Amino acid sequence: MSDWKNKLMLSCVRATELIEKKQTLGLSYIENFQLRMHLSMCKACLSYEYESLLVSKLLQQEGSVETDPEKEAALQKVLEEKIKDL
Amino acid sequence: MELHDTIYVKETVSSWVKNHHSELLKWAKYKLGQGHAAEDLVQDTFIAAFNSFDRFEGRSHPQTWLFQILNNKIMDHFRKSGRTEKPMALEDANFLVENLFDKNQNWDINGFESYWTSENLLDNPDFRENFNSCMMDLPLEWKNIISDKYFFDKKSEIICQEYQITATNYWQIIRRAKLLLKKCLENLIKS
Repeated sequence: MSDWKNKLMLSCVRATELIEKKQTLGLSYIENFQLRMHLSMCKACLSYEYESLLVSKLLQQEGSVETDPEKEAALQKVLEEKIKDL
Repeated sequence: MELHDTIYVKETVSSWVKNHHSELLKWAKYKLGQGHAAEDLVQDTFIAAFNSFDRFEGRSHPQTWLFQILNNKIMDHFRKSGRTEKPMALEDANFLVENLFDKNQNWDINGFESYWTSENLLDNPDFRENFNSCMMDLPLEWKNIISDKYFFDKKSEIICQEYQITATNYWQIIRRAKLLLKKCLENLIKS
């Protein structure tokens, strides 16, 4: 990025930090504005934001896979019997 | 073990089965896929907890202890099947992440922008496979923190407490983990 942008805008390091902060703690009004400015001009950081949200979504999706409650109960019961017999 | 101790231990471990079995199984299935291996390892975990109950002594939360045992078993399983988790050293990971940016702390477009903005990556089996293998490369602590947040849906404050890190540290670690995943995934697509 050219120098004038550096003076006016966040660095990409800072922008990627704010992208993550936005998802965990939230941003102040000014931070939010700065980030939006940066993303409107920086494709590299925009693609990081996409990747960041995708990773979150993917892990959340894996975590919310429903297990079969009946099978789960059966497995637990077998295990509890085993423990009794130990 | 004295008889009354044995009864107490059995009751305790049984109550752990009720409270933690499904979470452990979900994790094992995530790591190993559907099938019996995950179920067997979870079962072995509780039996190991019974057998080494003396070492527990209430020092940590039962869930933490059970996950430690399970994770060891998962690693053994990988080792036996020739697959190894190869977590990167923290230093190397930090070095890689810092080098994504130039001396002005900026980076340039690298040709993968349209890849990340394309739709349906989540439904792409190749992407998922690459993703899992890149997760294995993450430094252990980064992987645990990012899994706690998204996979186990733990609250930020709880995670900060458990790992004894500040809130800023916390999202910095998540950021670094995601940057490293991005780099790893892009390398896999290139090759």
